[in-house]
Amino acid sequence: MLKLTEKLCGLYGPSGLEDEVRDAIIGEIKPYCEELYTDKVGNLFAFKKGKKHADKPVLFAAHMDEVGFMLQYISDDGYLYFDTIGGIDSSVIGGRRMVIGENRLLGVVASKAVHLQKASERGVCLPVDEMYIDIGCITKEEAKKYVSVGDCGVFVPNFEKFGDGFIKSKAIDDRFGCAVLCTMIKEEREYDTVFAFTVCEEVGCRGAVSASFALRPSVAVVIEGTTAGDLPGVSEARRACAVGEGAVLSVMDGGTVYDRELFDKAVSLAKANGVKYQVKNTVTGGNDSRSFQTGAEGARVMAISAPVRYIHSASNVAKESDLTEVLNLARLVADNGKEL
Amino acid sequence: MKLFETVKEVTELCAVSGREHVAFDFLKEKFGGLFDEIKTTPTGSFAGIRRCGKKDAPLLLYDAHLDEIGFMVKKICDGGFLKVTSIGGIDTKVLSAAEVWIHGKERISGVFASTPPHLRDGSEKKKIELSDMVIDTGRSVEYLEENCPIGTVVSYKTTTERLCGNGIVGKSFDDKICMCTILEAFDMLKGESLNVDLCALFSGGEEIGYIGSATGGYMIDPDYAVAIDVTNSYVPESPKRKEDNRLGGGGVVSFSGTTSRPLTKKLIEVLEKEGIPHQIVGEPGRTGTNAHALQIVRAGVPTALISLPLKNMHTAAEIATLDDVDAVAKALAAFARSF
Repeated sequence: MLKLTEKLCGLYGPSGLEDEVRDAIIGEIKPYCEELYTDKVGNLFAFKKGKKHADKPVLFAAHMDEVGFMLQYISDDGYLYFDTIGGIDSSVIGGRRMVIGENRLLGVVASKAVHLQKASERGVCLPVDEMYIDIGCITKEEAKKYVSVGDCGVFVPNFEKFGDGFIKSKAIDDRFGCAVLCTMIKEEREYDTVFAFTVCEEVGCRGAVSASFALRPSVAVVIEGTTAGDLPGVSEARRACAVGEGAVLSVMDGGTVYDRELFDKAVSLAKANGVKYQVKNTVTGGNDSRSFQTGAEGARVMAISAPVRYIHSASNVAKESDLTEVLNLARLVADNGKEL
Repeated sequence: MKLFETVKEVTELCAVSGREHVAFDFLKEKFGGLFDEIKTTPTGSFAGIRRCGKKDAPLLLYDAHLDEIGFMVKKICDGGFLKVTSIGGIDTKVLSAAEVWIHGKERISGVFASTPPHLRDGSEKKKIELSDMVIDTGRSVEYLEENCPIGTVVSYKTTTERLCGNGIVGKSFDDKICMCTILEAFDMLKGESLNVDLCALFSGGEEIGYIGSATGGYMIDPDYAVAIDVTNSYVPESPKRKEDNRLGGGGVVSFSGTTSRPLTKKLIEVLEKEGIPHQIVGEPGRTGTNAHALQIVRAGVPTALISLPLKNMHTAAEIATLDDVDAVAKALAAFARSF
């Protein structure tokens, strides 16, 4: 699964432009599912026949899109002004490299140079409005040969194993989730199962809205990356979850109050099978669960997440062992209970 | 030489001030053929000399500094994090999520941590102090204490790449890209007969006080010197008086109160005569370069300064153009021929 995570993390897929990711996933899973199709907004659905029939198959979902940037204005000096696609804190944008547009052009985010800042401005992160991308062009005309307003960028691919069993990359949120789903599809499943690779999670969990109506799941399990705040100086009470402590189960986050029975079931499955897990201890963030819970007649929802440090930055950090625990727990949920 | 390949190889070296010697073997092996003599100083400077074979020939020194800014480990924290202090001037607002090399017994990679949004106090304008930041290594405290104890040097970790046109991006263009202009000039002059002995001084310790040019200058004892460094290019926020110093305009020749005006004028004359693109800047006081130190080495060395326009100085994404690298290399070759 790590190899596939690496492959998917390296792809270009800002919200609304998930094609490259979807094509790669289709290439991975096509031989392993009974039905596979892309809906009108770009979600990819896969139907997997299990050993036993399920009237209401459980839905597993992960989103294909990643946070990114969209060009809004090209200045006379050839700089590209932009806004973010999805929530990217301005403090992690300055100085980073990105790939832009169909030609995957390299660009660098700059803002007022340090030598031009007053002492009071030094070290203070500027808002996105005051940043711009430099692609090496010095006039508007030159820049227009390479890019147009509306072109999108993502952080430069930088997957790497590091430390003791860690990985670092852009877009671990949620390409790792896509890799978990692909892995589950390639295996034999106990029951019929449905899989959704959604679009546009980062701009309001929108793909999952359409998916709800199309699939009408009674139970939806979202596989996600979630913010880990286990940094020096952060109290355990505020860290949400910690890398290395296993799969993260959520009771409630910024968008969803999760189904209690499903949560309890996941906990008991984890305990009974020795899966390392932790419970998210802040009511923050959110994911496609909120759309599945409120879409159509509503579904009972569960989120199984991997703790990820520096999420929505150029360098997400996660631990391989946590990813494995997420996969293990997702398998248990899928194979233990016809309709949960 | 293939210019971009040379620039890529040289700028991807990690020679933070104080550990410049790590680049010596590479320089000897790769560029030794350009020099008749090679000398190094105990404080991290590398000098290559090309003799013209003529009696009593003057010695012209070209200086570019070998060292780059970086960090040093000052504390190992629970969970495998490092606190660092800076070596040279660092812009802390571009560090979150930046990648680094930790040059311990074993070289390992790390990432500057960023505070998750839910842990922020809402004040977007909060100043980021280096002392509040940590580097995530993904290692155990025991490993870190053994492999990269307090004092271990940390550098930016990135690659040098091409942008549109002849634009390039990378780390430590300040000042390794200027080393490339000197190397390229030496390459252009290969086999030519000159009336001057030529020394390439790749000096250490510039970022922490011009140490290598003062000591290396003393060792070489030149008759004339030209410092080659980077200068901040015009950017949208620059003041009016900087509008003429831009990327792509060629080397920026500096008139300064702390350099030699006759030598500077001679340099400009040569550039005009040869039609080599260049720009002029007036810097009344300190130039913030090795020219400052070279001018008063021993009993004094007439020194000029030519700078390569650069954006995002001291970050891991410095931007320059190969056109300027080429123009400065041509300028240095032409100037050597003029003696």
